[in-house]
Amino acid sequence: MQQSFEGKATPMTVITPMRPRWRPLVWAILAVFRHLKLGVVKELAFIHFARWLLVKRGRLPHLSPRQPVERLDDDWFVFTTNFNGPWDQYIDAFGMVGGVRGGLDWLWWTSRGFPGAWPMRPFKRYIRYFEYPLDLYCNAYPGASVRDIACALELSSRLDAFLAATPPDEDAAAFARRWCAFLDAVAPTLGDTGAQLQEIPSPHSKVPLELRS
Amino acid sequence: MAAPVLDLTDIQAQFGGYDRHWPVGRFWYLRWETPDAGRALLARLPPLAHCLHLDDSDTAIAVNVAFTHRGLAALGLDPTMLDSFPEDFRQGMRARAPLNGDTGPNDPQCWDDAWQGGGVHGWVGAYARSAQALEEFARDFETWLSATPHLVRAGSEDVSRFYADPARPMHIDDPASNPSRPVVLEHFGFRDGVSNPPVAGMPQDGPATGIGMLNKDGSWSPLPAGEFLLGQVDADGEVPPGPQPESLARNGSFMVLRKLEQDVDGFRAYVAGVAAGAGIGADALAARFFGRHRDGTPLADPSTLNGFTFGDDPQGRRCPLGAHLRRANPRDSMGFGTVLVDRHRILRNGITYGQPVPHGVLQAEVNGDAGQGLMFIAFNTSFAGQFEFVTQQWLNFGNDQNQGNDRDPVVGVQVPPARFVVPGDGLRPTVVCAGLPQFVRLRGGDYFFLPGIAAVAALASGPGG
Amino acid sequence: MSRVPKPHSFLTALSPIDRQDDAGGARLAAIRAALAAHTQYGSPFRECPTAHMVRMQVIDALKPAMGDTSGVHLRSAWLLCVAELDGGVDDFLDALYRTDPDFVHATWGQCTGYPPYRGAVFLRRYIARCRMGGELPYAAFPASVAQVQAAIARKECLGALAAATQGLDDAAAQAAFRAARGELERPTATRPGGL
Repeated sequence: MQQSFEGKATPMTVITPMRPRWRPLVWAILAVFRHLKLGVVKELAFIHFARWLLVKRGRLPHLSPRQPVERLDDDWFVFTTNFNGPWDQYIDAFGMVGGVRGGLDWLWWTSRGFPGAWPMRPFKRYIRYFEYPLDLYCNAYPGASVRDIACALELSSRLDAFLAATPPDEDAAAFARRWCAFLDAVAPTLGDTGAQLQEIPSPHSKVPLELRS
Repeated sequence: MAAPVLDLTDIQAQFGGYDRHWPVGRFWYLRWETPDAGRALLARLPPLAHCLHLDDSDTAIAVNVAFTHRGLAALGLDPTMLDSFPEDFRQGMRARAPLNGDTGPNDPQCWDDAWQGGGVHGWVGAYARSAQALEEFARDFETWLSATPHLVRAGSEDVSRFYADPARPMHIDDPASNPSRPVVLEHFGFRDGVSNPPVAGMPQDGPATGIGMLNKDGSWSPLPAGEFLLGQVDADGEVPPGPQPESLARNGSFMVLRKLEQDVDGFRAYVAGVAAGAGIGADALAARFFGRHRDGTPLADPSTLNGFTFGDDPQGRRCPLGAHLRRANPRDSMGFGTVLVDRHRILRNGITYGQPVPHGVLQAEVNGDAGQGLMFIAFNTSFAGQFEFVTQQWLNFGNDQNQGNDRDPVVGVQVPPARFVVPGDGLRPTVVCAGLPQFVRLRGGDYFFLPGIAAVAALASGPGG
Repeated sequence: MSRVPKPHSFLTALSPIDRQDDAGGARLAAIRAALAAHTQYGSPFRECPTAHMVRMQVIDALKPAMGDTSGVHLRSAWLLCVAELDGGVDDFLDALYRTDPDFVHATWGQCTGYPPYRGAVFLRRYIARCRMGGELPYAAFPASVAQVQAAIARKECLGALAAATQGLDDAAAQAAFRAARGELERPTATRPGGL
């Protein structure tokens, strides 16, 4: 069972087996996706980093003459992600948001036994089954979610502008007027991110009950 | 999707909720020390009230019953059946306290006596058309209880509904904020129970617009029954995991019961203090906490009660992103219509307890230490996916609402710096409420299984049903 | 906006762990122990200023496709390292080696083909041989670790200031702002993992 990691980002590694004959198709699909904007994923705002990678069965590093050569039937299709929120919600969003579902169907379509990103339960079972536990995870900003960072970056540029427009010798009334207007502008991004990890809700059943081993 | 045909006469009335004709009630929290005592109780109860029963004006009393997992075990149910219940229900609300933020002042150790010690096996909820009818039923029932061996009365609670009344204003500083019509209120003086999800197959109060599921074509549908009723198809098109055999699950639902004590004095004093500092009206600020005015008019769109969305107010200028209403049901706030919300809805049918506190009066002057609050009752088919999810991710966390760690200003379990930001709308300045006290305290409760009426009869008949 | 901003690099490295070269898979056990000895906050990655997120995991056995009874199995175990970085991979590896060479030797140092020498250059060369390319990456922001941390620190500072100036008169609000201005302009540097 995976070690649990604190913080708002949860790592997941999924490695699915793929028949080598699909390689050309996978390369084509990955090439197409590389040129998509993935705006839907940005809008969902809960993935920090993710990647897809095809590891060919014969191309695993061979680093010593004494190393036994792997004889595998399948390539590895590796998916790693760092997401916010409970596992269940993350996978739900994948299957429920049409654009993402279609994308995942394409990306995983070549993996053996992939049931499709819908209906939900077989899809979740599939992901869960091919998930590999982590031994060590480090996150440079565990207290911040994707949404926290989006708010902070937006606020930061507005703050720069406000600071630049604030002379040291400004009249107090004039300052107060501008300060109120500035607060009005940034208010929607002012939620507390907090330095205290204990303020973050404890990991909620990251895996739905019926899928727990 | 065509609405399923539900057998409303097999669904206990509490699921559908009680209307204004049933203003008073009493809850009993019971424990049976032998399976026979439990079955004796089920045999003693009058025919259970179902969803259509309430329209029958000949009946003056409506009784429902629900069970904790310990209660089902104490009825002597087969272990296979007991283990077929989902883990969240088997563990119960006490064990899952950390997930729900039931810590600190909400910690189970601080709960009422009824929830300590041996725990509660069953909930019996009786509603009546009049206080007199309730008294008659209660007197007989209590007499029978005390005469029945191995049946322990762990506690009881009187509940009653109250309505907006010009003779009892509940405002802080603006008398005009009191509702002009006699709507159902909770103790902070706001209209309650107006935005339950419509359930496919159940009688509909009105259109699903705003409160149901948003379809791709822009229309709204009721939520699939399986989100709230076991044995029915849910929003994923699947039947939610439930107890076996299927006949035990049918027309049943999982019920959350929480006694929430409200600090009315504290709420009024805090809001008045912040509002004075910010130079705005206290009742106007209080409405931002809830997302509705006292009479239920939503800040998002005053022209409707429920037919609004938040899509055109992404910054929360009209209805703050952190307002209670917007957290408990974000509607389309998160984008993608309501698909990210549909699996996380709950059906609330709570009722207040304690006497209302008029404007200018302290709680202690109304009823001493007894206090007032809400018997929160909510139905779902997955505690983890629905009630607990809403509590943990939306009420006691703010990420999905772009509010960072900020918590629900009304019901959240507050931790420093305990802030709630009300963005300015151009006329009203931005208000930052900091150091929010915790206005609502949990005094007890548990996770219950509210079976269908036929299933209760089977439970009453003997082990294994 | 480019989906994968240039400043980020993505490291995926698969390093074989020989199970046959000594009795009982002692190397595998040693690597697991070395990984387990570090908590999320006590790991050397925390001291690497260019690392956003890093994971390490031992892949000991492959999960067969459902219904696959061929019995194909891995002959080596594999140490998978996945990291999202600012700048180049080599800068990250140098920082990691500088921070905790013992960790490197206790993990990759136990893998097949790692040279029996000390020095960051050998880690760089080894990881280069283990690195898997051709990934399809996604990053939410084109921001560096330092930028993210500074932005969050400024947001925290501004949030506290906004609350503190609530209800103050003009002069007092201005004084509070002036007192906080330095922190707003240059937030106190946060250690990676400290937020």
